[in-house]
Amino acid sequence: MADRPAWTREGEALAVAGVDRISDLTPEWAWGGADGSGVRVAVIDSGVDADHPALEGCVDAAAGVAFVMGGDGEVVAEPGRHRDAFGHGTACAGIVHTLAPAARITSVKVLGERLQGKAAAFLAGLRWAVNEGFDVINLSLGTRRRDWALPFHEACDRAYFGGSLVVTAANNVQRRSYPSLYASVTSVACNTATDPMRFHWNPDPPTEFLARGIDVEVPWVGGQTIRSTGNSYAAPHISGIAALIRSKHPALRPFQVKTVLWATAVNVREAGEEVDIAGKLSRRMASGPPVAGGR
Amino acid sequence: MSAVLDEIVTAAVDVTAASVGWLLRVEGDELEVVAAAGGDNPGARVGRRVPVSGAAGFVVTSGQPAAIESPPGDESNVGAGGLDGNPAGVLAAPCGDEDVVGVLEVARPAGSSPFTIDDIEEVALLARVAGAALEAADAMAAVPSPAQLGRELEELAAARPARYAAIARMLDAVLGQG
Repeated sequence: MADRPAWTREGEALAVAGVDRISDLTPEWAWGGADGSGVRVAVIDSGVDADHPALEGCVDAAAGVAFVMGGDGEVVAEPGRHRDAFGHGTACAGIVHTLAPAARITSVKVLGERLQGKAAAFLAGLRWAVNEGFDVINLSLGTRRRDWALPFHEACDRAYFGGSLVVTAANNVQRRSYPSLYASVTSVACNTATDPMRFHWNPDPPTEFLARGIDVEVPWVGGQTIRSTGNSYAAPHISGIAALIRSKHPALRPFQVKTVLWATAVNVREAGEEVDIAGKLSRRMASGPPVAGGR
Repeated sequence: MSAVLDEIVTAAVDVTAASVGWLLRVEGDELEVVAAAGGDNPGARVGRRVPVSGAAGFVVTSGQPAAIESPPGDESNVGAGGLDGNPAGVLAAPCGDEDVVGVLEVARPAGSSPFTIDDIEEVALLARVAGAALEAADAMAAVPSPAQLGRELEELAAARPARYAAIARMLDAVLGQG
């Protein structure tokens, strides 16, 4: 909670450096020259194979934690190095690393071979990552159970107000999945791009952004590399780009990072350029052609 | 119900141009093949239990559909769906409304085209239908048959005739008419 009344902020100058207008939010301003330095990314998934050569040592294996179900049905945290149960966490970490090579990645393992109580482990992992204050939290998973909706909502709001950007995988078709439905997260589905930096804004929420997720080459368990398709690979693309933005502009709040993502999305930028061209044309037409002898 | 499930799997195989497909139901900490299509004698795979691993394992625990193209050395999908070999590519989607109760999965052989995002969405839609069928089957399994219900009521009536006499008379009338 804030320790001073909100109105006392009104006299402060809180402009974002280098941004006088929305059109100043360009890719160059947003992430030009950034490599993810100083940014911590949590990958909440099936674990990460920290020794995979494609990850080039970007994973803080000792800082990781696995959440498993104890014998009495309680969630138990097991700190330290762990293996990837399926390969998916390694894949997501690999995508983030490709885009933001200097970002440090921590694995929060919540998916395993045992099926019981996975939503509880998932929530415990998210709460842990929020408490740790990661800059970006990648969640390429979700739950459809309504009875978990409120606890996930609370955790995501806490992340949002605490400064952690939670990036979740959504469905291309509307399907209930928590926490991807919440405004406090950045929800991502696939586009058809092959360029990892080519992402789009979706004006039809709750899915807000579209990023690469089709036929993506990703690291996998056993030191291998596979090609895979799914929205769960689109989310780490936005996580990686967000890591670049937060690396260059660490003071930005989650809603500002979302705004930068919106302004730099391909379809918003291209539309803006068209509007700009149209505006210039209309101004030129309004002024009329030069007329000899005119006033 | 098994005919419905078989048709759903067959539709998933046809729409994705896959070679084989199967429907897995969550059974404790394992997955059981409850329907299969394509390949040699798909019915023989029904009833097999497989561990929560590979693409199906990820899908059932994450709730996210996925298509995975495996290189030759990747053994994470060996034995998927009760198959003996290692498919070149698999596509899996979760079944179920609130809980993931199963996984609809198709596989393609080496040399065929990789699965597309359209394939994922079509299989995901069929998985929703399969999930509804699995949940309906579970609900039906929990309802006793009329004969079983009749036996239980007769036993109650025999044990406490004063309390269940009226029910026993109604039951006699119904069964007598039947």
